[in-house]
Amino acid sequence: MTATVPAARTIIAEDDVVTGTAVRARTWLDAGELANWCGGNGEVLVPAFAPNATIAAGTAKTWYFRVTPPGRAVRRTWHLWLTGNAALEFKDTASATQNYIIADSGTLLVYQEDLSAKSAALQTINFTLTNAASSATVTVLGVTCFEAPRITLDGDAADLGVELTTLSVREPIEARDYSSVGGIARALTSPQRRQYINIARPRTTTDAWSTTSGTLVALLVEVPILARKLLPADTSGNVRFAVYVSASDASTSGEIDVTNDATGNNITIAATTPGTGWSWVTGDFAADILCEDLTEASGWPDGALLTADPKTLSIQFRRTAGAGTFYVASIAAVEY
Amino acid sequence: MSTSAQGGLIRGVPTTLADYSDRAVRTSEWRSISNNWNHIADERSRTLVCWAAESTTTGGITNSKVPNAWQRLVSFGPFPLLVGADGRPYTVRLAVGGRSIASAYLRIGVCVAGTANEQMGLTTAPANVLETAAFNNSTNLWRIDGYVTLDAEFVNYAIANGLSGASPSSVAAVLVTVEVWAKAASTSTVYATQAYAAEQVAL
Repeated sequence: MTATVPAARTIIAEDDVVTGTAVRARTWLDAGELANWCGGNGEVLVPAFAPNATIAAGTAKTWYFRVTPPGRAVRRTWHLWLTGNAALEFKDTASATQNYIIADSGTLLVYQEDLSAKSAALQTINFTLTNAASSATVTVLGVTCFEAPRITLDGDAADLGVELTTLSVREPIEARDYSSVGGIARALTSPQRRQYINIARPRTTTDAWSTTSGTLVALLVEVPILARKLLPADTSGNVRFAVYVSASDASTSGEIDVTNDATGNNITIAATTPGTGWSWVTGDFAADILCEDLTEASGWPDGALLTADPKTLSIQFRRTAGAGTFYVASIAAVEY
Repeated sequence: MSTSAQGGLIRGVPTTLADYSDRAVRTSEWRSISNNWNHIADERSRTLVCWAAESTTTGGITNSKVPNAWQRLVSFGPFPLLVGADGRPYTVRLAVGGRSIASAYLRIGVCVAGTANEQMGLTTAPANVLETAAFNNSTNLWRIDGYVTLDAEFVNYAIANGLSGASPSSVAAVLVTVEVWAKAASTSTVYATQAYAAEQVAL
């Protein structure tokens, strides 16, 4: 199997594909390499954010994130930026652990989470940091998680890797899965969706966002999201929001409001009596979030984020029923 | 700039092999497939950092350690950047914001892994670093945005290429960190509260 993933992308010479002219093998080889490049570079599942959260000696905190991976990754890489003279244990979603010593001047913690199965399912991932009893307090300053790149893809329905040797000069043109030009066409079905935000607080009632207010209060302000551009005339895209909620009792409800400052439109995500456990509620913001403008060097419509036209989102929450406290521990946004 | 002729996906392209069997496939279909792969690769770019403020007046990370000098507030990554057909990494669009209680500056930069201490503290911000104008404002706001492009500096990056950690391998990757630094005359007077970085196919 040689569905290798090149280090740099290629560009298919579309003008070489014209009626009445034989298409060079080189053109299709570029196409096969490009398909493998798109499939082999993983998604950033948790775009980096700064929790700025502390973990006292002898205690543990857990962060939860909602993701929809493309489904080809075999390894997730977690990178945390931490301060504090401490001994730490990192525990991943599958409860595998690794120990670290970190320094007060700032330490990059790298954890490789090797997966036992590929999955493109909507799922929750998490990590737990346990600070040893003898340590100083740890501050978690930066968190990110991305899918490690692949060096070759498999020729199967999960990876849809294109066998590059079948695109060489003098090879026959075939309509076969994972091979030749048929494999290039087949690989178009591989998911390529993008994760936009994943901001979380530790999942405890003392750390999570909380409110008893019936009036909307800020969760996140000026959130920058640029959707992936799909069709040629698109100026906006679809974004799905997932929010991890709980309440202090069985009768308290809440809601989350997501307002697009660019259009003034909003969606409301209801969390009706979530109870004292934690659960995800979801809302879809269809065809409203600005998408990338590929004619601009920055990708921002109008060329920049800071122009007279607002381009960010505001996320607020409130209690809508009951007399208890409404909690939010995590907010995610993903293309759908 | 879009590398696809249409600047977006063309709909209606068959993606099952049965649709291509036992017939002559039209040139337009193959052109559409080529267009779509070029566009998918353009939009394979990823959001690297999306840290939003939690209020308009509180939160954030402050310059608690040294006055009157550039100080790291937070480092994100390192990330392996996508590399374009010209051998250079995809452009990274950036933004940083915060508040202050005295005249202060913020910087956000994209640095090849291991070079941040040298590049982020330079007197004059290099091309891979954006620096705000001096500001003294107690509201959390985006202060500057822009984009930077790096030269490719590939390093071997260890990966696994099979499930459960099988097939240890390495790939050539351009590893970068996204850095947020600050400077003010006194400590604890400037706060970074938000940062953003995302890949973007180059013009």
